Amino acid sequence: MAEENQEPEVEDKELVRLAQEGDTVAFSELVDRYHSRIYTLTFQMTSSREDAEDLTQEVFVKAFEALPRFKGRSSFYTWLYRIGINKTINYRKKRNRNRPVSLDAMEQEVVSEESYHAFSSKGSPLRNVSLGELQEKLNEAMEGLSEKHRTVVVMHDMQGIPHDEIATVVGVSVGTVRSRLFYARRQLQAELGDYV
Amino acid sequence: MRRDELLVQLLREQGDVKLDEQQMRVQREAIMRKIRTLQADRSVSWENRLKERLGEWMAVPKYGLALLLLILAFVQISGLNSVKSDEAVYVEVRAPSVVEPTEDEVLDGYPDLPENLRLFAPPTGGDGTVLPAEFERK
Repeated sequence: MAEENQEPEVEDKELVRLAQEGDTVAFSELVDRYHSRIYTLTFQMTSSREDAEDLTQEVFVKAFEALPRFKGRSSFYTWLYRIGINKTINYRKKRNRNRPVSLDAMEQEVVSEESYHAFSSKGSPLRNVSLGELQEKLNEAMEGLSEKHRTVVVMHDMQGIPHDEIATVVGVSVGTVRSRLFYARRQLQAELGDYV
Repeated sequence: MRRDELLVQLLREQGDVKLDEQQMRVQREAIMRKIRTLQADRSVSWENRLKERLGEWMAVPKYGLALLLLILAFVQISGLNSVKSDEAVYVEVRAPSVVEPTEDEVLDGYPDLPENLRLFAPPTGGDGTVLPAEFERK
């Protein structure tokens, strides 16, 4: 997984070792490093601030509880990210799939005005669509994807994670990742056919 | 712009989540409070945890009943419910000595009866013969 650009003063391995010995200050440093990325992941997969906050907390609590069993075969972040993916997928499976799309996504204004104008100025049907409507349609289309397809789209198209790293986290082959991505995009295009 | 490129760009924009640093800090603090609580719970000794949990277990009927049965089984097996031995009346029971009796003793033990004592009724035939039950004298 993509790590921080700047080299941290203390490596994750050392912090993990200290945290495994019960050092909560070391674990706090790990929370500081990865909190925003786990939050972003859970938010992108749930489209809800409240759910993302709860899930992010659950992910770190779970990580702390499971830390004694962490052997260091992968990086701490990859391991943490996998917990985040699994937690979110399980949460979404339990949640009513027909739940209305959260308005939090609208508040975020995640599709920037600049991009919106760029899209709408190229003869796309977007010129007749409001920003809020476009976000709502995209969220609805994402909700329509299965968990495994949605996970791949979030990781690759939203977070920019390469295929091979997605394959490692999800536990499938690179070919399967590509196949799921292809299928998911087709389905999204079909759902958003009137807009893109 | 091709449709698939447009879609990917749209998704990338969608993935650009704006984070409120103040809110993130509050959340991180909440997480660490939870973690410290967990850590504190871990350090509590098992005796204290047992004491704390015992009331909860007993409150659930099935657990309470199971615990009661376990206690009874333990008492039974360990013999704690047996009568206190120092409060009992002691009686020394000695088994009679086992001695093989001599032949004279056996004979002496037989009742001394007269010679002509008839122990059994004579056979039906009267001449010392025993007749079968279905035989009928004509």
